Order: sequence, then C-alpha cells, then structure tokens
Amino acid sequence: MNSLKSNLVQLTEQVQSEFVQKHHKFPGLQRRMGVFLRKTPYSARVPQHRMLRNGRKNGKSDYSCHKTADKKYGDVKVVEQINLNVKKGRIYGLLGRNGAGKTTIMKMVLGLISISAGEIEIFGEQLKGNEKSIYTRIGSIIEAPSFYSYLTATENLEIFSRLRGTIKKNAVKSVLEVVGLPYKDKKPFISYSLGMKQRLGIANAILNDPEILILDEPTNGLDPVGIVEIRKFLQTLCCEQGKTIVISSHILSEIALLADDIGIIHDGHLLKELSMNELEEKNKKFIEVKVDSVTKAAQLLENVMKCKNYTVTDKNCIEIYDETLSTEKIADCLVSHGVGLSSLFCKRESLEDYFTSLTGGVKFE
Amino acid sequence: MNNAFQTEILKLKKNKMAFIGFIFTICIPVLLVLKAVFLDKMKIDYHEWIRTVFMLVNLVLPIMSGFFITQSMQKEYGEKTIINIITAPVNRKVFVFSKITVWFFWYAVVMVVTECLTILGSLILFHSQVTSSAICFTIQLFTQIGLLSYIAFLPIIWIAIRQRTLFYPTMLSVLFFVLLQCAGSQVSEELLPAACFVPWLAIQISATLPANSQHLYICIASILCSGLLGILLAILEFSTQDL
Repeated sequence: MNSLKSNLVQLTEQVQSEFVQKHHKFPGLQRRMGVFLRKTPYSARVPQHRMLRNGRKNGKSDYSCHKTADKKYGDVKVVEQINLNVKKGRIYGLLGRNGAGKTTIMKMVLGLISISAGEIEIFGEQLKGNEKSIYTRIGSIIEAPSFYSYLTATENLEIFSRLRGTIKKNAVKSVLEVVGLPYKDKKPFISYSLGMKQRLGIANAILNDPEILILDEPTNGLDPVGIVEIRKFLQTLCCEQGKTIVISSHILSEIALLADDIGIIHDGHLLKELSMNELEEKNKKFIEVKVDSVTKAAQLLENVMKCKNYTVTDKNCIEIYDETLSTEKIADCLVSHGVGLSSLFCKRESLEDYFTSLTGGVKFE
Repeated sequence: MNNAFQTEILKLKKNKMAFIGFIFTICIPVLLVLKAVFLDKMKIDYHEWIRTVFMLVNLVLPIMSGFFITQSMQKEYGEKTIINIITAPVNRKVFVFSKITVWFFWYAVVMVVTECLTILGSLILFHSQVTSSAICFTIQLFTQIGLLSYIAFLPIIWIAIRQRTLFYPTMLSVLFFVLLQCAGSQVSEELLPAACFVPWLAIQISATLPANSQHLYICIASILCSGLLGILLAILEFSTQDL
C-alpha cells in the first residue's frame, strides 16, 4: 500500500513537472488544468483603509491620468498606448516587473521625459500648454528622494517651496511636522537615514498641498518598520486628507496592502486595470486540504466526490478548485473514509498569482 | 525667473566650490602684494606688477568660473535634484537662465572684489606712481576682459548640461578655452585677422586693439556669437533632454 502511495505521488509530481516544462508559457492554461507547483496563501483580511474608502468609489470624478502616449528609445517602444484611470481619493498601484515601464510612465506624466507620440491628459486637460496649472496640483517622488546633500531638511524644503512660488506661510514647518522630521535641524540631508530621506521626499511632495501624489517605489530600500511607517502615512494622507495617490512598485505584497485599484504593466503595455475588490472577486477560490494520505484523499475526491479539478501541491496537501464542493462535504467524506485530516481552509489566489499569470512570470523562473 | 534665481542664491550660500573659487581668485592680488614686499623688496615697478596680476587673474578666474558652473550643473544631475526642480514645476528655459544669471552674479562679485584688491594693492605698493587715469585704465581693462571672457565661456554650460554627471569633459573644455585665451596675447600680426574670429583668442586680442579698430569689432562680434550660441545650445539641449 505504501509503495503504491509513493508511486502515485511520484507519478503526480512527474506529470506536473513535465506539464510545466511543456506549457510554461501559458500559466493561464496551467491554472485551468489545475497544475500549480506553488500557491501563496491569500490573506482574506481586507485592509481597514480600503474598507473606509470603498464607500467613496462612485461619488467622485476620475482622473484620466495618461492617454495614448508612446515612448521610444531608438526603435524600441518602451511604453505604448497607456491609459490609466485613476479614481479621486483612492490609491492606484502601478504594478510591473523591473523595466516594465512604470517609472517611464510616471516620468512622461511629470514631463521629465519627452513623449514620442500621442498626448497626455490629466484632470481632463491636455498636458501640453497647461503644464504650470497641472503640475501645481501634483506632488511626486521619482526614483529616490533627491535633495541637496549639504543642506538641511528645512533648507532643502525652503528652496523647493520658493521654486513653487505659491506656498502658504509655514508650509515647510507644517509638512515637516506631518512627516515627523525636525524643523530647523542642523543635520544635513547626506547624514539622514533612508527612512528619513523618504519622509523628506514625501514632505516635499505634499508641500504644495497637491491633489495627486505620484510616488515611484517609495518603500524601496526601507527596512520593515520603515515600510510600515510609509504605508500608514500614505493611508492617512488618502483617508484623512483625501489625496489621490499613484504608487508604483514591483513588491506585490506592498501594493496588495495599500492599493484600492491596480494597473498591471508589462513590456510597456497596460495589461489589466481593476480594483482590488474586483480582483478579490475574480480570483479563484480553492479549498486547501492537508491530509495524512494524499493518495487516498485523491482517490476519494475522484471516485466518491466526482471531483477532477484539484491539484496535489505537496506530499500531504491538496488544493480543490471545484466550487460545488463545500468544506463540510469534503471533511465528512475524508473523515468517514478514514483519512487523517490535519487542516482544511477556504483560500483564494493571491495578487502574486494573478500578476504572474498575466505577465507570464513563470517562464523567467 | 525671480524665484528660480533666489533659490540659486540660497544654494550658493553653502556652496563650497563658490567659496573656494572666490578665495583662490582674490588671493592673487593679495599674494602678489606680499611677494612685492617680502621677496622683491619693492624692486618691481607698477606696470610690471599690474601685468603679473592681470595675467594671473585672467588665468585663474576663468578656471574657477568653469569649475563653479560645472559643479553647479553636475550636482543637480548627480543628486537628481533636477527632477524635483522640473516637477516643482520650473520651466526648463528659466532653469538654464537662472544658472547663467547666478554664474554671472558670482563671476561679477569675484571680478569686482579682485579689482578692488588690485587697486588697493597698487596704492599700497606704488602710491606715487598710481594716478587716477591708471586706476581707471585698470578698472576698464579688468572689466572688459572679465566680461568678454564670461561671454566667450558660455558654451561651457551647454557642455555641462550635455555631459550631465560627468565632470571631466567640461573641465577639459574649460582648460582648452583658457589655453586659447592665454595664447591670444601671443598672436602675431599676420595671424591677427584670422585669430579675431576665434572667440577665446579674441578676448586678449581685444585688449591690445585701439577703440576704432575694425578687428576689435570682429573680436567682440565673435565673442558675442560664442555666448549666444552657448545659451541657445544649452536651452535646446536641456529642453529636449530626458531626465
């Protein structure tokens, strides 16, 4: 019996491995066939800030942030026909792998790089010719917070506030208080920690009280505590001050915790744009069962419960994708046939799974 | 433009390069006064002393000025503060003009202080020989050469923008221009008509020509062309540059 069980497990693994090698370019097909080698558990907990903001979804107008613009470097098109729909008062996560075009899109919007073709529209206005009026409504951090290394935080912000020209009195002091940095400190920017630099970057971005914040990977290089700090701070800005935030990242877990809406960029194309709620509904649910005998459980699933849509992911773990089966029914069946059941959870695919399936990430692994 | 210029002045306050350049240049007349007193034992005459000051200042000031503008531009690119400036938003043309203006401001301050120290030094050393016409001539010559040199060196800002974070190409260009400027005083009469068309040679040549000379106008025109071309190229380069 034991040798039969181990043979079955080996055979399952062999079939899975051969299938992945053969069809590695089609992750969607792999999913339909129920072949997954790895599955990241999805945290069912929706972040509190997102629940707070969900109510606002329909009440406010949207910003069409970018419209049918291309960027070429030589003959290579790095961004093509992108149209981002950013909703007012929400956090928009721009997801993509390194080199996907996230920073290029942000730089195009901010006028830091020229566009090769097309046009950019923000707040319903053409960017060209309205730069001054549009950019005063936008705050940004691109790549990394950049300041004069030999000047203090206050001196740096005073320079940028003067450049903007339309800053309120005491704006520098108040934004430094908001981000928790000292006013009139003697410490030059060069001696700041990375977390302090990021906070100063955010302070500069909110200096002119903008409607939209465009932040390019603001948690890059931060330690876990720093990441949590920045995340909470951005959530506060969005929830309490009603700021709209466009944030780019390749750290999916971070975006999953922060964003209300996401846009997935790959090779300069916007593959998908949807809200996290839609993603949660869209992503396939499955039941993860941990048993002592995966062979016996598989036999029961096929013969008794008539279920073919399942995956053996480990020597004692099965994922069942058949939505007609309830957890109670599965538990009853397995226990009544003498299968040792150690855990049974209803789970959902993660953002990582969705991202990987869209961008074809498996082929690079 | 006013805001952009004011921020450049704020940056200048803690700019070490600006300070070092200032000190280096103004030290020349001071050191030459000390040399005349302690080493030459006052055996040197006024014209020789003023010629030495003039030659050294015309060598050091353009070099320091080149260092100043190169470092000023290179720091904006190196520290990526240029991104914050452009997204502030600041018009790209305004940014280039504010850099040119603050460069001129620094240059003018150094030039005026050096002139004052030179006149003061000459009064201390050669009190009896220094007449009011000699002082006027010194001021006129210093100012003329200084201003023409500043204008002729404007293409440096274009090179600095083009090279972004690179320091050496701009500095090599500065040194090359300074070399030409020094060579300008050695140009023979046969080569003079051709040399007038080279802006950096024309700086020194213009100081030797009479006011009504046709060559003087050619010199000034070539220097102005160099300055204008430098500004236009800098604006064009920066306006189309991806940051």
